[in-house]
Amino acid sequence: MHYIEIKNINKSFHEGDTVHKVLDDVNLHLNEGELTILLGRRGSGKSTLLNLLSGIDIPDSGQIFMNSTEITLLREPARTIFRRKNVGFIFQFFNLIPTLTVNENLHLALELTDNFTPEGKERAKFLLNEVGLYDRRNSYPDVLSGGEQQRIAIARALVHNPGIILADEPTGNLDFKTADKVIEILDDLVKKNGKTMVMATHSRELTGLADRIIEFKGKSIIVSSQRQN
Amino acid sequence: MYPPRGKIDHFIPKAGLRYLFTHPWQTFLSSIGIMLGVAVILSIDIANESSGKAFDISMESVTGKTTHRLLSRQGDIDLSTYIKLRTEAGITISAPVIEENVKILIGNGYTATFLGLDPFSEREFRNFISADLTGDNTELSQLLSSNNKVLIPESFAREAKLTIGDTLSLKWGDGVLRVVCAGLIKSNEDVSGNRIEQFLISDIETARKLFNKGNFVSHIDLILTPSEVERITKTILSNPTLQLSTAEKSNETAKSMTEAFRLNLNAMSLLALIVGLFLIYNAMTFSVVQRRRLLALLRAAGVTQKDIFIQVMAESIFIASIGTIGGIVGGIFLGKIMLGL
Repeated sequence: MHYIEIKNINKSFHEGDTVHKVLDDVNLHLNEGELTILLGRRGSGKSTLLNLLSGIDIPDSGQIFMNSTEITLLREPARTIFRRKNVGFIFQFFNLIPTLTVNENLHLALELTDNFTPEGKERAKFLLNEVGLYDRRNSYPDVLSGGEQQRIAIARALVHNPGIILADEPTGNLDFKTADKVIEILDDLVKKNGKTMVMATHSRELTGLADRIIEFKGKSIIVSSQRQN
Repeated sequence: MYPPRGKIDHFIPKAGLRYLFTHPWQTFLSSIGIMLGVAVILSIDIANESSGKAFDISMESVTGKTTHRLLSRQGDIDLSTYIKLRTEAGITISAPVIEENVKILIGNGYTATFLGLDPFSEREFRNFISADLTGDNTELSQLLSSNNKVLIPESFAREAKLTIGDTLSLKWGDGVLRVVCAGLIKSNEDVSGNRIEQFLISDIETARKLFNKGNFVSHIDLILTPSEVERITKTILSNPTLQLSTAEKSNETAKSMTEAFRLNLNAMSLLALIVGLFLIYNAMTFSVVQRRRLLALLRAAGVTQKDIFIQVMAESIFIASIGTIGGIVGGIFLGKIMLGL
């Protein structure tokens, strides 16, 4: 069953009079429970595709179906609500709320999805233990290292039990050692929870984890390949 | 698709308010911006309103409760008309007035209106000659029994450092008149501290002698009902040299003289409003721009534009409340300073 279907997607950005076509007639499908890696150079369109999948941005034309919902038909407020309920997003720069503690960052995600219940709080506690930062639950993000912040961001993305995890260069702002640790945690948690995940990266080293690799070559050619198990 | 109505998220306000408290200088500066805006608008408005009120009070002090004024087209009005008013037209509430412009020769000089009034007719029109004398009525008897005695406003006496018994020199035409201060009037002028016009008051007999009026007065003040107006029209106004005007019309000349003054104040008030609005707008823009990253992070976390708008509005109201309270206090203080200038 296809969890995500992308049909004839086009996306351009305007810079003055110049038009930069980033995605040109893209057709894709992603299966439920799979880890898909979007591979390509910086500026190749990986983040653009993730933003379209999450509903942060909309395509110029084409359709995107997620779990049978056509998100390209939704208006902005509805897309935001859909995103916060169904998508867990992990950003390159963590994007934790600096004025909320680690615990409150997770609780905000629960509150926005109507999951701020004793069970939800218990799940937040469980995930903080899983990423090894329960002891830092009352700290503010700015006193944590980059690796610790990204581990919190992973916990936040999973805490409301979304159908899909989207990760945009999750190790792009981390050193190699920390990046390995973060990927290990992310892979472990996603697989343990049976989640579908799409990760954008420019690092070929991560392709070994993927069920499916979609490589961005040039502006319009997208090569999809299946990992041989 | 939307969360149930009435649910109040509390981590969003918490994130916003913590930002305000963890950046106290930014919050303080935003509040100061609003405070200045409110203070500027309020102080100019206080000064404007007070000046206008002072003018109205000053006009009321001179005209009192007068509804109409009997004037002569030839200048002064014969006292025989006053007698006719009472006998032929049956108008009892009337007061003859001698009004002259003089210059009080103290310091750089003060322009003043000299009013010669009949204390026995005045009670119905103006209250300062019959009731508001400071101390007992010794001054009133002096005013009536002696020549060249005048009453002056208490505030003017204080400003010009005059006391009862002091002699004042008044320039009238080419001559100089000498009068003695017999008492002080507690005038309404003290309400604002601003004075549009000074006035001196004497008994009408003193004024007649000082200004060589003989059997003439400047005008006769009247408080008339519509039927009395009709009666006067039929009797007294048969003399074509006489005219009956309303008190409002009589004040129009003085009002037109102060029109430019009021226009300036209004222009200043509008300017203050623009400056104030600009200050408030800038303060609020500064406050939002400084938190742009936090707002973007909240949006990325899945907070809707509507929730962000509500949050920004709530914080703006919070900052604006602090600024407005400070601005009102500052505005009253500034207004008082401006009125003292």
